[in-house]
Amino acid sequence: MLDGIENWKTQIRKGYLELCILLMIQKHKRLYGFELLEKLANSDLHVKEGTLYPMLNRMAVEKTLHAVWETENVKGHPRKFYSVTKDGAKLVEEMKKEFENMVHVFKNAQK
Amino acid sequence: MSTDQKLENYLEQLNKSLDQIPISDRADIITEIKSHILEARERDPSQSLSGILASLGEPESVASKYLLERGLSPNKPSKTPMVKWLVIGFLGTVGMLLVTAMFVVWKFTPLISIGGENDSISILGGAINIGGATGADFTGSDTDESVQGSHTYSKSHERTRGKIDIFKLKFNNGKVSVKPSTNDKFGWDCKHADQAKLLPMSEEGKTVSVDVSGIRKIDCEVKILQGMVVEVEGNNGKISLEELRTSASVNLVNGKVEISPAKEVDYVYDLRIKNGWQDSFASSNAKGAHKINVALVNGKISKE
Repeated sequence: MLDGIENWKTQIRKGYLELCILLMIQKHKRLYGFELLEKLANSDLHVKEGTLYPMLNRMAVEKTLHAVWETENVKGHPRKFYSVTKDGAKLVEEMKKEFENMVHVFKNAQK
Repeated sequence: MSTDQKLENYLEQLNKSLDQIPISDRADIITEIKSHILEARERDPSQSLSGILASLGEPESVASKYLLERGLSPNKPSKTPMVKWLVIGFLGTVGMLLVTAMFVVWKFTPLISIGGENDSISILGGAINIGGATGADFTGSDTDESVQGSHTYSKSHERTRGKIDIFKLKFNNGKVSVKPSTNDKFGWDCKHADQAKLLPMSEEGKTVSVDVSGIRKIDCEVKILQGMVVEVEGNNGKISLEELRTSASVNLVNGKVEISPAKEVDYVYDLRIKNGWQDSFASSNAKGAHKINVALVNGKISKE
């Protein structure tokens, strides 16, 4: 049964995690991976780095995110900053609508 | 191993596991992961590299997540040595069995063949050879015999019919052909490989019997007169009945019986085979049709 709940959590978090990543980047305009991990953790969303980076990579390939390497104005090593593209912003709006609808259904189902 | 080496090894392994992704993208991924690791060490210098790498996960599993996100199928995880050797051992055994089976099939093909160039029976691809009157060291009286250094002896006998009605021939190994006589005499002409052997002949009542079963590789041509009955009995070899105008009875254990029916002559066939096959022959209801009785244990009865 516990295995079942873990599997369910993985499934339900998949889309939700993507939405939260986009919202977090949007909120901060631009973030690099490590920062994003910290901020998500601070919001009680603990993501493994081995999961986050591949997702960011895919969203950049899909042009939902825009990625820029910064070597200047940063201490030490280069960092890859992500920002939400115009298409990404549209996607975020669609996702939010869907998620709000889901929450609405969820609440109604319990009334 | 130094920490830098450990880091390089990790990144190298990640790079290898990402080989399905274009090299420029791959370099970007590696740089980002390296950047993450350096950042983590910067933030908390007390944290060990091993801890940071463990938190990231095995390079292969990180790579497989990148591949899955791109809709590519991750490389199969490398099998443990035990499983690998078991697989190799199993495939090796199967391979060897296949090769052996193929060799056996090749070597012993065809399983049984009758006739062919030598008019012989070949079982298991020639492992057992029966008959073959025109075999290697018995090729008739042509030039082959001197080339092969073997000798052929010939004995023939010819006589008038007199009161004889039945001619019997018994052989062990070889070839016998029976055909109508072209003159008013019947007889036989046998070639064989054994020196100075007489052909044992006996006459009893209306029957003349020739027993050549003690002679190796016989090749006999029997000429028979109309109205006589011929009986041939053999173990291994070929018996041919050529355009007979008489009744014939044939008993053969292994080999081939060839029947060439004469035109406009009626025959009644009684053909029995235990193991083998036969061509189809049409029996006639006509009165005075010649009886052709064949009993064969292993082989073929063919129409020529």
